[in-house]
Amino acid sequence: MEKAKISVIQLFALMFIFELGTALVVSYGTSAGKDAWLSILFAICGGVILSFVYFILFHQYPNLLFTGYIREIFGKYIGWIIGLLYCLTFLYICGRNVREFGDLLVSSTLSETPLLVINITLVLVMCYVIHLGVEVLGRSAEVFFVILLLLGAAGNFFVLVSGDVDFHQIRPFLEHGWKPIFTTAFPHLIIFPFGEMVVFTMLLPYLNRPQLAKRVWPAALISSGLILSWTVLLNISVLGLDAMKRSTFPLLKAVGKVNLFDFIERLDAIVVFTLLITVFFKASIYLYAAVLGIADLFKLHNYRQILLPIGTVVIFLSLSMASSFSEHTKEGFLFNYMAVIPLIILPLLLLLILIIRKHFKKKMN
Amino acid sequence: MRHKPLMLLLLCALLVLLSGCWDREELQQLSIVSGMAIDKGSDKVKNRYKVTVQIINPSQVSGGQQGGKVQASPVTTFTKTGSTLSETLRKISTKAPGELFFPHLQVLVIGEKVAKEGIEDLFDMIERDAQFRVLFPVLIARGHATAKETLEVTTPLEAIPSAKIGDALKSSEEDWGAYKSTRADQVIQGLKEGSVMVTGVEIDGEATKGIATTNMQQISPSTQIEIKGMALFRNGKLESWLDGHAARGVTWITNEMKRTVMNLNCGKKKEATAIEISRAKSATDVKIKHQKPVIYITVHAEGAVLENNCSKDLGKSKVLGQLDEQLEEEIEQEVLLTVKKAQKQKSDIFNFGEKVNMADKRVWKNIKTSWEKDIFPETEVHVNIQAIIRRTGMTTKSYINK
Repeated sequence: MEKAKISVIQLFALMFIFELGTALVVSYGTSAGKDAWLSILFAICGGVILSFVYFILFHQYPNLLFTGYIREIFGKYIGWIIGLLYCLTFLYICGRNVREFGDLLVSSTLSETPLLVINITLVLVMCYVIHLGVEVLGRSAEVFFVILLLLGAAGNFFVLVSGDVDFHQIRPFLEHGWKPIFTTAFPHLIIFPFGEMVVFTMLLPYLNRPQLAKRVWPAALISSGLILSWTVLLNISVLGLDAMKRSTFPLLKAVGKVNLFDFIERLDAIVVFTLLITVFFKASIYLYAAVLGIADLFKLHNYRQILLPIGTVVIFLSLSMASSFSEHTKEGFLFNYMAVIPLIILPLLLLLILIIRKHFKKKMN
Repeated sequence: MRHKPLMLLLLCALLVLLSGCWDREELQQLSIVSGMAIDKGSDKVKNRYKVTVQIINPSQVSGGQQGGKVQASPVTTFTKTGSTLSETLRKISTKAPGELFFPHLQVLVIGEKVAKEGIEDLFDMIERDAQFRVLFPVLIARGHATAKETLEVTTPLEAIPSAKIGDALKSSEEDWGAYKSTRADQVIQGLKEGSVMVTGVEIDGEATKGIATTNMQQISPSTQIEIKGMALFRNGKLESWLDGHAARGVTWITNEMKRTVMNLNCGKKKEATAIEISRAKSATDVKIKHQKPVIYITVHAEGAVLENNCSKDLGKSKVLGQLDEQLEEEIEQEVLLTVKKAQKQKSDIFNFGEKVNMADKRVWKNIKTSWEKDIFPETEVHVNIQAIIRRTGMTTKSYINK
């Protein structure tokens, strides 16, 4: 752990940007059909419940990292192994994000540039900000949060006034009943991106007013969740469900449709900018958590020693995890099922053990 | 600070490496495509498409006097045959001076022969390739001329023929209202759903004369291009053409009517009064009755009198009220004519099916498979028109006494 503090607003900005992450741009929740937006709302509820689980754990050990109190609860050896598994999971998701970012850039704007070059540049910048520490990450998140809001407002404004929006396209409500809504929300949407917030258990000890974590977490989750839901709704009403399901990056297509007076057009750049900002922070947070966790587990004094080697691992992972974007998407689908264990079941188990222990302690006293 | 020079060196290196020159495209090396035409290549699957691209010659279009230089044509076209669209476009690079650049594509013209055989295979590449923007209009070259010839007709007022087609389409859509333009993304949507309408374009005159620059030296060019008709596609194949009133009905129903002129009878005098429609709005609603969908089309139209070759005193509100009713009747007939044609062709070009789905998803699930074939042609359609003539121009009663 480094000696640093981040403010409540900085944490909120980090969480908010993290949640929008790649979810804003990739095809998201489409298996729920026209009711994808509703499915996301349900997932928010699940995410809020999960956030309380994480918070109670943090409340018990306010000065320890997640990898720290896992060892306290599960015992030295089992806890150590599970902690390492968490770090690996963070690294894997970090690699996924870098890959998604690179793939979007290659397929939309930089068609000739090798994926490797894009990924290396992104990871280098990520390593740099992490080298400077979590305070710098938090402060830059604060700045980019404002920029992101401006970009979002501009994008929304132009799409809404362009006249391409037809809200009737989301009707009929509940076209295929409730089932697809729930099967999409659980586990897919609740894992990605709401459950992914487990990574913030690695950042919470830095919060300057720990008692406020209880409020910041749900606030960031709900506000970003509502934005995701709105974006999906807008995508469907601009593109129609079919075109949205077909496209790899629906938001890029929806915003690309804007054409005001043959003058304001080609706004795809807004989407690419948004993705650039959000993915940078999301992947940085994951990388930071992974590096910090590994440093904690292996009792290193300074996480900066292993930053570059692990950055290299991320580059390697991002390139080798899938041979095509379709394979990448399929892997993500399977990963969502697997991720239920570290993101939902294990935290619940931790909580259960904690409660049982307390109960016994009370009895002994 | 002994690392300072080293850091500076590193920064310079990064500046070179990070500026992203990989995808640089120099303007002078690009061939900017302004129009694309797809014709039939051969009867076999191999080389089935003949694709023509129209490339802008920037030095000729940008204007300015070029003393002593031979006047070159403002655009040039290249044609190749191939089996897929992308293959053919790449083959064109053997003729074109630079890389084909598509984001400024203004029209896509498809030959009638290809349209009859099916246009389904033409749009996947357009949707997939990030270079294409799917907002350009698609047209079908009608009659004897091929799409290539349509794209090559020279016109005096606009140097670039494909831009001329685009402009004609826009002005016809805005002032006459009969032929609405169809964007590529709308065509793709329609192909997915089964039925789609595409605007037609026809050459008026001889195609061979049209391609010469002498064509634009005449006051009345012997060959002209004209927007004409709406092509009705079913399952990606051209089925029939809608013209005149039936085509205008499409614009009414799809709520894309901007302005148009309608003629009304004045007593025994036929087609004597011309009304300009300046504002129109339409909505389609589906209600389910006895498990069967019933379609309600409502049109609100507002207009003004443009011409009155008849002795009626338009200053009287009662007379104007009668004209309102006549106008309503006229619009209703146009709308019904179009609906009947679509029903006869068994193609749901207006996507009423989705409206049924919105009205009652259970009913839609039952009739989905047989909708276009059996149910849509038999469906009851009610048309409700509300037309109001707001003003009569600068005169009330005409000088004409008959």
